[in-house]
Amino acid sequence: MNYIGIDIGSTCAKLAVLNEQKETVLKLVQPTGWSSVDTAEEIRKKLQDENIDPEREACVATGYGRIAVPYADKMITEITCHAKGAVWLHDCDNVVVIDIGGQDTKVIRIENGMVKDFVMNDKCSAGTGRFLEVMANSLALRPDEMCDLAASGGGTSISSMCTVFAESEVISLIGRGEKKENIAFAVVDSIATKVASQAGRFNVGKEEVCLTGGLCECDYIRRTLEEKLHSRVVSSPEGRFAGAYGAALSAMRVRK
Amino acid sequence: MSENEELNYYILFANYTQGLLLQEILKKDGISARIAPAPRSIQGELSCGMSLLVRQEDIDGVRESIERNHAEYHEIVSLPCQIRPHRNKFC
Amino acid sequence: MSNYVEMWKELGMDLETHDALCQVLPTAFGDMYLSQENRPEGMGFWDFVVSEIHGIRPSELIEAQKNGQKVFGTFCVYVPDEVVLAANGIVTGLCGGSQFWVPGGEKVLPKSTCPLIKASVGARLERTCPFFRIADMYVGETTCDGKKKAWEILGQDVPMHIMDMPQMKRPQDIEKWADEIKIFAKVVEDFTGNAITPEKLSEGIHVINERRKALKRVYDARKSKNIPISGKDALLMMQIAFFDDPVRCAEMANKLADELEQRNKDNVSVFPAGTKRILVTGTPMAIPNWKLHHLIETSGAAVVCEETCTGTRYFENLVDETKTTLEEQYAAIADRYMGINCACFTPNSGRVDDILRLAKEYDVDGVIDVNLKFCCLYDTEGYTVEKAMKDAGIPVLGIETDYTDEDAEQLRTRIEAFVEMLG
Repeated sequence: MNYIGIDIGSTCAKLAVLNEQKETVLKLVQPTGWSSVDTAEEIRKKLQDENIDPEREACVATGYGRIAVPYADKMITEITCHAKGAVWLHDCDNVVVIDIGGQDTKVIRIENGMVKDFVMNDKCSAGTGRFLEVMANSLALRPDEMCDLAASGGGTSISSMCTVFAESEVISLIGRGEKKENIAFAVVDSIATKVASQAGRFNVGKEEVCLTGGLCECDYIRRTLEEKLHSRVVSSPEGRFAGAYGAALSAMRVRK
Repeated sequence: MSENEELNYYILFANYTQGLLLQEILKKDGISARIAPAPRSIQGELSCGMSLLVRQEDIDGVRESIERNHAEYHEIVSLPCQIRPHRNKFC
Repeated sequence: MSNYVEMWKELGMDLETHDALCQVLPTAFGDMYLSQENRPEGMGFWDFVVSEIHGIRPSELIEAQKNGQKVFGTFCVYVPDEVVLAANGIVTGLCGGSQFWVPGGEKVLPKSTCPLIKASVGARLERTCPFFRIADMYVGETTCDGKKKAWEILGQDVPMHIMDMPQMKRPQDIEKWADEIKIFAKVVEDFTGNAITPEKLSEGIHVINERRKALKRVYDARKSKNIPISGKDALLMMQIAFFDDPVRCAEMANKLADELEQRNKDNVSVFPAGTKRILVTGTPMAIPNWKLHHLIETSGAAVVCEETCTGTRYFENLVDETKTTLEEQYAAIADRYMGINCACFTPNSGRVDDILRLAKEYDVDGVIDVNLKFCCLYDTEGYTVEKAMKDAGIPVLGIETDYTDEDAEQLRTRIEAFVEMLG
């Protein structure tokens, strides 16, 4: 039996398949596009190409598009899946998970391997991947390029939390001739500040923090968060699959 | 909309006294009919907002009971099931 | 037969706009209420009231007005119905619970006002709710800054009396509230032309106490391990209690309680065994605000109790019926009402005690603390409430929302995650 975890986020869909020994059989990431239903179908085909039949294997869907996966045996929220995935990836039972997602940012406190508490941002996109994406666009950079560039910048800041207002701030900074790296620095700083204030409710301090989601590959963001939170922030190259792994691990408890 | 979609029947009334009376009659005949606000699309100019909601499998029994008891009503209208708990349209 | 359209016309309502509301309600009620299985038969009464919501009770009120009775519209559970009843007056709740009325309110109020106030003002000024047209006098109170200023705007359109609420609960504050009740009684006497006697007040106290007892019986039945009634249904009963004749309300609630008690004996539940039991605490849910309850009850949990103004705060504690002079009776009324724990008081530790007690009595798995957007008082108190729950080992989820549809999926994710967290 294989265990399929599908995490359909607002920006990217992630797939992870584990076997009985919890070894990764298959994983992939693709843009969600405008239709999560179509994405779910594409993933079905990709699974079939690998001779994995989602109807016969245990499958759990998560993420905001979890309702769009007709062949899933169960839907579980991304909070629970990210927590499970992060615990497994980092082999750590007491940890705070920060997941910077495409349209929402979650902070999850885990005690003894179980979700104890969580917060999510409200409707607003400040402090999310979307914010970063919009700003990177106006700098004509890819989000990861912008993050890398931010490391060599400094000396400027963005005051607006609202994505729309912040974008016009960035545009006026460009107009003033501010260096790209300085603007990139300001963008990352704004996100990290917002995320840290969200995590502030949990008095993060002693615990280790692990960063998951699409932005975890950027070391500069991890370092900035470390500074703002005054605690160790770890990430894993597999961090963006945390939700999908969590779903696959949950699928092990599905009875077929 | 799929072809085999379930139909719901709404019994409309000129006034709620008729409606409550028919509900009593149906209850005695062991037929379930639930009070529902009449969907605006079928209420027309009727001022009574009350209707009785009857499932497809019960409608023949309802018609028979109405006939036998000479119960008054305005109209019976069938609509594809309007109830969608996950629609996320609040008031 | 009454023709409601004629009645609405005579009330000076904006029929065209009102019709738009009439279109939304049956659909929303169908999705949220008629989608439920195995509902108590007793709910038929409230389903009926909803289907005739702007017809049947308004025409009763108009009939009463023709017979010389006065209708007082109120917005808060601190305003004592007993006093109005004693002068042969009628009380109707006026709180707006629909997004439909919010834009009308926003024409005159800041956007950063809570939706309940915006909807209430909108319903009056846009002339789209018969209850707001019928009430002869509005009775406001100073429970929050938004309301205080909104009364000034409403007061330009309709006679208003404002009761000055104390902000603390020291003995002198309770005395002051008794004075406010006396002042209100005088206003009611003058407005109705009827004198309030100890006998009449005693009758009024009794009628309202009986309503409290009946509503409490329904709530007590919800403590059972099986869940005999959904939270949504109980909420609907509470919401309509504010509008209905208090004697009929008590009669219907008692009838429902009989049925629920039987269901408890027969171990009938409207949710599968093991469904997580939720206590909702926080801001009021005026009709037709069923959003949060619906989201919770379609996310794998059941609401078994509400520590809100449209919940336990409305009926807990009775007024002492043994007093025989007006002076003593007003003091007894003040005592009872000052036992309600609203976030407008400081300190308000009684509310935390209430929540902890209710969580135990109703055997809840978790607490959801809900705040209507821009309600600064409950929002701020949320910190204290959530901390107290965590200290007591009760899982708690804080949620802020309004009457709009767009945050539904995000809320659903949070609520589902919370339910998953409960195990």
